Amino acid sequence: MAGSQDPNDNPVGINVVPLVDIIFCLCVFFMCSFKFRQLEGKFDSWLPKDKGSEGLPSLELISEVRVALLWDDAKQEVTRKMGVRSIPDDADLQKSIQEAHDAWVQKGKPDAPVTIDGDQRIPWSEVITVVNIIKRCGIDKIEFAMGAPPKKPGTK
Amino acid sequence: MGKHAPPAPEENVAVNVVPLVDIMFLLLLFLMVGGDMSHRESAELQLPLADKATESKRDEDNYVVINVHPIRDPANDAERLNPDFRNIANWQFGIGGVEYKDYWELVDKLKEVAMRKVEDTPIPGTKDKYLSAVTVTIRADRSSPYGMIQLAMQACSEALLYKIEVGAAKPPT
Repeated sequence: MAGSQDPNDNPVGINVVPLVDIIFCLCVFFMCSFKFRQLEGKFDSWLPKDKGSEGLPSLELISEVRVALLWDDAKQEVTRKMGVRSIPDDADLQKSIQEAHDAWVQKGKPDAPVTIDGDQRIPWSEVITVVNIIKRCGIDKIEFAMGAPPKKPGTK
Repeated sequence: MGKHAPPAPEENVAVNVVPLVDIMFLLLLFLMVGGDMSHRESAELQLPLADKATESKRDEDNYVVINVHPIRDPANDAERLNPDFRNIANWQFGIGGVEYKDYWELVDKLKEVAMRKVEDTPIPGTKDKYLSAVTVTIRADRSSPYGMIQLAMQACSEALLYKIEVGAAKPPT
């Protein structure tokens, strides 16, 4: 037992029982406060180098697939639309995005991006869900539609 | 002369606690290092789930993490579902443990970070403006309003940071 020592083994006679007790307490404390972190990943969303945040709208015909995310404040829910069609189901949205993108590929525009146009109030998780669906379609080019940035105080 | 009973062998049943203390020290060390209680770059957030998220391979010297989280955590689900919770005014950005509520303060900080590493060639059409080679990871809570991420991206654009990643959690298998 700890502390029961032959005097010949340890002439100094240190009692290690409190040491072991303190270590046990510390271990219990750290075990209770330990949190396992989520496995994290990322999506690349590099900003285009050739477009500014205050860029004028292009006069060229827009070649893109656009997914609109609308927020209903009263119902606290998101509505997903492509064109005029509302698409609540993830599998349906994936199929629609794939078909729309394939149509641009057939027209000779494989780089046509998928643009996510969302209300400011929608939860970020809804946007990531759409990004995930787009990635499942094998489409790498994703754009985020944004409004004008805030004006610096003191500027007109 | 009587027969003497053989002496009873001495049995030493004392438990050697030295390995126990060694293992306890190692366990303690592991828990202390693994369970970092200080405010770190990877703030406690509930990231949105995405199975297509890829592992981040970043240049350790040239990256910055922007965390997006509420100024005050909601006490319960009812508060989380309150429309006011989704107001941008109730959210803030965090970089390295420092909170930024003002957009232009965030831009100033990002401009400072962007100078750590710049690209070799200037932006076409300019002579003295260089894009930054620093990678930005935006880690936003899953319930944060999309407007906050838009502001973060716009702030990065103002600071000439273009290498942006958005963080997501891999769903449990």
